[in-house]
Amino acid sequence: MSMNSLNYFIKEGFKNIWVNRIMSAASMLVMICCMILTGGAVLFSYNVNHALKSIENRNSITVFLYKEVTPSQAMNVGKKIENVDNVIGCEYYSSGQAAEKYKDVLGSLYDAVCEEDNPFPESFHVTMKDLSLYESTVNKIKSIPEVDSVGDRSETAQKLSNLSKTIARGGIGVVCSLGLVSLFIISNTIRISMHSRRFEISIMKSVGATNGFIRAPFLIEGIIIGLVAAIVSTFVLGSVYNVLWEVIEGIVPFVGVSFKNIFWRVMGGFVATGMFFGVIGSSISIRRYLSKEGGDVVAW
Amino acid sequence: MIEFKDVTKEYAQDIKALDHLNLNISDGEFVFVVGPSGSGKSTFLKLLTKEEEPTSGEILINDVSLGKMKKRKIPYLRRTMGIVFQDFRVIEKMTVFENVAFAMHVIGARARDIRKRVPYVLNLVGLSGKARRKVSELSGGEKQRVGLARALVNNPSMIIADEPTGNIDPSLSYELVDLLSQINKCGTTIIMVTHDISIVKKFSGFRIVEISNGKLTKDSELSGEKQ
Repeated sequence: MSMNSLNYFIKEGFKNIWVNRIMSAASMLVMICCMILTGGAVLFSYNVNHALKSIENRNSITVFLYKEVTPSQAMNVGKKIENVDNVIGCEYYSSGQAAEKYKDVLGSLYDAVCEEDNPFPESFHVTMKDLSLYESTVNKIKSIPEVDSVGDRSETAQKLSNLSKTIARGGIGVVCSLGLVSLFIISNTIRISMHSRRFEISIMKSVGATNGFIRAPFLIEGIIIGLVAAIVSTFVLGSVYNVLWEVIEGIVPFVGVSFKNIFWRVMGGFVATGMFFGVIGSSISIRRYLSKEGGDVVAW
Repeated sequence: MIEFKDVTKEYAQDIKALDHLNLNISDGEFVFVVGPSGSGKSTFLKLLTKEEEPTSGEILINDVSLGKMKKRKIPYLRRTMGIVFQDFRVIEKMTVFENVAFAMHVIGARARDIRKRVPYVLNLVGLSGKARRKVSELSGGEKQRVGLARALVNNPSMIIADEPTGNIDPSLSYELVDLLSQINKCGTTIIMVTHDISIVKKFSGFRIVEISNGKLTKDSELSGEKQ
């Protein structure tokens, strides 16, 4: 394909969009909705997986002792924990230190809550050597009589995992429906484009234009629709994501993934999806239409 | 060389547009194809441009059988033909230049070649002064000249004109056929379908083929008779 032809195709593609601007805008809008919903679901899953991984990768747990255990008894418990296999670190965290940590959060309530009866138990931050032995190590620590509970990651992980699966299941249905709607709208937009240019197409055929040449501007039209929808979707999704991310980051630090870090991946994914839908949507209409000849093209 | 060998085209059972047609047209000939409406003239052209397939028989152009031609080769066959339509088929929103250049664009011609060739062809058909005019501002005769220029611009070896004078005044019709005859003198084969007998009579010396009910009913070459 020569540069002349490429220029011609791109020019004609833009021209088609402008001539059928309302339908083109409708196609873009539907695709944008579809991509934002899809992208939102994917980003949610991505964040959940990221959070799961970060939970899984934390090789330290918090061991809480019964409220009745005194600091001197806690020291003995600490030695027992240190003797458990796979434990490489055991840092004592007194009830006073715990209360102090929450002093800022509790504010004026601190005095009322902590002055007379400190509600925080004695605890230990325990570091493990081998994460694959997580379950057995936790069970051994739990078997120490003074140990009340262990800050366990498995429950949180399970909740996150279930949530991710539910979103994914619901998302697939929505995305499939919207995907079909997008294809339908794009193919109709291209169909209208072809119809409005049927006269030119009949002339093109009569002077010996190949089907590829006739097809190209309409494929480019579909690609442009997909491309614009992809770019707009990226920025809209990015803006919404950034707002949500700032809120979530304020509550649970370092859990989510910054949009800056995944911008190009999101953009790439959207562009590929948009172009794919654009090409498929266009091809559906073009195929039917190119089989017509001569007067049938004009009479269509 | 165009050869129709026992060509039949049936659109439905017992409706034969062409019925065992045998016809040879040599390179450089000017042939009027005449006959009443519904006689099969348009089908004859559609078979020639491979818009339609014959039900039986064989069509050869320069010894190449159209029946054996692959679909993807059809555009290249059409590039050897220039087609002029009764309804002009010019794009009203484009200028005269753009209409003619359009035919070169679609076969992938270079912009430099288009800039050189289009004015030359417009000059041939007498439209050199109207290159920048919108087609919508032209008369019927001028629009048909644009159609002819478009048919000529890719330098085809034959011109197929389907009732080219059907929508224009008689005086302009004569001018147009005169133009076609001049093009024919340069060696281009002209096949002109018409039902306007006055034109056929005016331009004597050309071959006349008459099709009626799908059959070849008269061929001035075979009968030795020329108008």
